[in-house]
Amino acid sequence: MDGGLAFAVNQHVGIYTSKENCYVASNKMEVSGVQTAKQRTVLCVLTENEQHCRMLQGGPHAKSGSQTSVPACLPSYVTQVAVELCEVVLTASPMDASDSSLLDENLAALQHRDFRLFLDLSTNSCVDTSVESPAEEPLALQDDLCVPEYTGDIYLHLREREAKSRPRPNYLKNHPELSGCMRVVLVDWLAEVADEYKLCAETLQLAVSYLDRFLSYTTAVKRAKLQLVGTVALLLAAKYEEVYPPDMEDFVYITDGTYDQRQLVCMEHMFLKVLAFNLTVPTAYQLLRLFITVQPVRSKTAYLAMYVAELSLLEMETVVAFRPSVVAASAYCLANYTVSRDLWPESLQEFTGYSLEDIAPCLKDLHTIYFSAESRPQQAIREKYKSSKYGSVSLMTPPTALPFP
Amino acid sequence: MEKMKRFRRRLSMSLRSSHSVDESLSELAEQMTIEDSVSKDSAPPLRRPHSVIGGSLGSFMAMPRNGSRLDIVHENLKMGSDGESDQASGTSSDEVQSPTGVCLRSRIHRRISMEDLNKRLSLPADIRIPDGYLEKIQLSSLHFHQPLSRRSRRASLSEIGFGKLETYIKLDKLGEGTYATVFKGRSKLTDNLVALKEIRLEHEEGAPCTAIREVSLLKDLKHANIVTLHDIIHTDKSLTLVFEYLDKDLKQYMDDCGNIMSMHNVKIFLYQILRGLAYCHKRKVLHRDLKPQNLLINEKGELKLADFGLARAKSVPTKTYSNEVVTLWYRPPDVLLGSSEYSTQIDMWGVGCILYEMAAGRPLFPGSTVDDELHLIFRLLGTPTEENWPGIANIEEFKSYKFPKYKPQTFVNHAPRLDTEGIELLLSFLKFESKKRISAEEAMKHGYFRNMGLRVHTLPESISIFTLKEIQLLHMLF
Repeated sequence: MDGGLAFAVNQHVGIYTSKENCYVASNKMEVSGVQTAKQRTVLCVLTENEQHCRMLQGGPHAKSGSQTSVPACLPSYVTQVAVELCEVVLTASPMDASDSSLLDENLAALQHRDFRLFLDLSTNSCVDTSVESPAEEPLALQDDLCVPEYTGDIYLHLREREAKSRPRPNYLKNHPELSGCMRVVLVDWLAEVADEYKLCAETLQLAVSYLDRFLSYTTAVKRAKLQLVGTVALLLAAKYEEVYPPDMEDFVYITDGTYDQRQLVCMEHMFLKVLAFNLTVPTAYQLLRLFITVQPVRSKTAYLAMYVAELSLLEMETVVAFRPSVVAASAYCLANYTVSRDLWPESLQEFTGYSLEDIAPCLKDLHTIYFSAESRPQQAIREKYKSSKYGSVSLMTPPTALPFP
Repeated sequence: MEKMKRFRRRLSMSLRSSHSVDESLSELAEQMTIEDSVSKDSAPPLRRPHSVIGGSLGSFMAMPRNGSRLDIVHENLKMGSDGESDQASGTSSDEVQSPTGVCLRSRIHRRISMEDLNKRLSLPADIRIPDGYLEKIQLSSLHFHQPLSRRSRRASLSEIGFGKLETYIKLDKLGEGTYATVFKGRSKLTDNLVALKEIRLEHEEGAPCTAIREVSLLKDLKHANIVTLHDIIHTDKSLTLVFEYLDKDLKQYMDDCGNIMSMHNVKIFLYQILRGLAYCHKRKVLHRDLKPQNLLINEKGELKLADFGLARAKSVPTKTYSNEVVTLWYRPPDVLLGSSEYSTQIDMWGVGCILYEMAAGRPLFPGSTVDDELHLIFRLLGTPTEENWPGIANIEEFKSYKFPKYKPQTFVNHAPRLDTEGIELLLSFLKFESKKRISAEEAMKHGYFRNMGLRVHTLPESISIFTLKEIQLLHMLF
């Protein structure tokens, strides 16, 4: 696919600003044939995009570009450290009033459905009709942890939790040295590291969630420290999720010694305080597995949905705008459409409480990301899913359009 | 390897700015403020004294730094949030709108009482506020009745003493857990006993996985039958978890009643285990290390699940970090045979073993090695066959043990004190195939619990079953 097309798709959907520049910039690079060394390319893209972003976003970036405007706040932070932990003593953390009432409604509606769901599962009526040859292509990725009896409760819980662990919109405006494009490069790099160390898909999802929340609750992170923040996000996710997480030394190694072990340990400490140890958070991947448990699909569809959900991590706009459950539902739907021209099964509409209209904005967003994945400079996730281990799903041709306006 | 080199360089080069690489982390922290979305006009009523700023600085990072910075007064201090945002939108999402705060505003000049403060900060009623603290807030009482933001609440809690090691007095050592040492302690704030779980931090590797998992899981688990985490103290040398203190564990309880527990109490304890476990399982949390030592009991008879250190670990270790062997007595045969299956039903086998142990006064399968443990299991339940465990014949581990073909024995002879329904429930926990084992939720509805009444099934999560008058513990310790 050529760059022009990708750009056109973006324009059509019309929700990206700075990201378009990422694509345009990168395509320029490729056209002029300078792609001798990848690291150089990335470096160039980064600087070029950064300029674009700054020009585009004007205001906050332009004004706070100089470092002096940021107060030197170590003391405040450090006192904060003691303060941070007190949160533990608190009872349930209060949710935004308007949101919680909405949520309650949703949840009540969902609870209603539970019983039916249980019946569905216990009578085996959940077998996917789209399964053509189960013997050759096994149903994949069902979550062992989701005993049919508990799927409804687990879903309710995840929905409740995801509402409480959202990144803040526009959090980057508090980080004058950072730009959306740097985040893209960082997440792509994290994906590459995760793939190299054979980390679980969930680990990467958690890492990006930690990263966004950390940046939502801090200000003025230096560009030179962004990689440290990203590395520690991955380190914590691996410690939380993996059976055999890589050692500290490995994490020093992956940054090419940019940071030493002591810095990583210190940053880990800070990270845990900023997130107040709230590392048990829902991700699109967890929800996707839950949906696949409820309504099984062929492994190709499952991998494709995973691929799309993973691609969505690159885009801050998507991550900020849509909750993991919506991303998971849209990824499921998009994969289902790509593989079998089905969309959103009724069983899942009932189970999730989301109609196709509810997820349509996210679905369109994911479609754009999926459609343009081939032409963007960040290829780590696409590379990973080229492997036969994942059914080579990233080599499939994405649908050019979705079957609704 | 070539690929590896390429990518490890890539980002470091692209993200590195003109600063030198070996900038110390102190600089990093200076560059990084932790911010909160609370708008400035709802400024925290409680300002922290400068001494606190200087004091915790050294203890946190222990790094050389520019001393003059300590004296800078940051009027626009930005303080932290807990990383748990409610809403991705507005700036006021962190405000806790308490009804008391609102109605008290009209009586703003009233003296602030201890009770007001406790309400405002949702503190336990028995908390002791440090001398002078109340006087201090009287001075800022103009702000006292304004809605409290999360950050100012947290600042207040810190001043009161939460999150500080000196708030807790360490008493006797209670024991060595799988990755930590547990002490009995006393909170200076409440005078209550607490359990202090002290995890030494390796300087090289940071916080251990087990601690990270346990804390983040427990923060998500609030239930009457799960031990409450009161406070966390994180220094660079150790991580201390402050738990509610319970008098004994189930093992001690059974010992203390000469291993003849009242069958009435057995039922009440089992129900509480199931209640706590069902709550965990609905949150996709497995305990994975259920045993009488991890079930804590207070004098009211409330039983709470504790020790979630292995809760997420996909592999169960066989040694503690002090090299004690982890008990195999409560492990299901599929796990003993090397299954890495990760399902909630793996906890249910252990529940069966514990039920038997409470009823019979001795452990069900006290094996000393994996081989021994499996032999004990098969001798009682019969050696598994393809019929009661499809696929067993293909498990390499199983084949290599070459077990004799034991016949299943009648259970009644082994647990004479259990009634028919008790035996039936016990056997539904002890199924070879994990997916056939009864779930915690289902088990709570079993006929065995019929005489506990119906109200117990609809209790809110955080309410103890002993709030129901029909449920009472029999006290017959002799």
